[in-house]
Amino acid sequence: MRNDAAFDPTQLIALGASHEGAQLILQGLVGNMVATGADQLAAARSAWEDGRRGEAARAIHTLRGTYGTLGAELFAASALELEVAIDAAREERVAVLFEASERALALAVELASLWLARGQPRSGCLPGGAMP
Amino acid sequence: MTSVLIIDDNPTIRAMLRLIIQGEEYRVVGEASNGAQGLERALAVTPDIVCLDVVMPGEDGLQVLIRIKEELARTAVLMVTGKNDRDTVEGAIARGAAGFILKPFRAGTVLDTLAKTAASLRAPRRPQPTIGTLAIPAPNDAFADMRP
Repeated sequence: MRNDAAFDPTQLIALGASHEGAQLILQGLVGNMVATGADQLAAARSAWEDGRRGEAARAIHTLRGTYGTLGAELFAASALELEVAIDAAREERVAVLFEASERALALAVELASLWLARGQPRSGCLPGGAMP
Repeated sequence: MTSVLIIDDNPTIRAMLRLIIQGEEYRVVGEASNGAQGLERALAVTPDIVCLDVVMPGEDGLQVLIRIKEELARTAVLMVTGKNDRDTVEGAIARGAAGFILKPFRAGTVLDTLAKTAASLRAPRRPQPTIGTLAIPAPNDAFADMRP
């Protein structure tokens, strides 16, 4: 699994340098993903497990667009498959894809946390280039 | 300078679009978090381009699109959507959308789409809808037999 696919801050770095105050805004947006991403995905899973299929699909749709735009590309790819599976009510596939999406988001959150803690490094790699 | 209004219920998407769009060529003249607010804002500022989310609580983007085109025929509306299925695309084009920004988006794609749309507004002929960097035919030709 490539770190830069799990969380690619390239666009954020470019935007952060483009306007005064942009860096602070972007840190807030990424910080929000770090703070609430897992809970929001868990809420979508609960909705699915409680039979609220439409609510689950809408939540995944929103998370995919939001976190994908912030650079969580792997999560966005997994969430797209998940959204399709939810729409088609493919229960076994949905369970597998929720787990894959949770792993992808956890990795994105870990890398994004590191990115925030370091200021703005060029990539989201862990110290020493280690894979999480 | 081309004026742009952003209508999206997701604050992260609004903030990212504003950061991407605001610059020397474009001025973000407003934001709204739902269709009703967005229409009110559009009527007040008469933007050149509206970036309009498709999936929103209450009045959805396609309904808002119809109302904007009724009131502001010269305003180009770009649909911001994570859904590029046939129904969504054809429905939006049939209702007058000028193009699409697909989520998740990248700055280059958004600016490309805006540039093409802004150029279409300045051109004498009818604007051609665009999806990302891909121009698609206007509804009066290739989509004529596919419209609902």
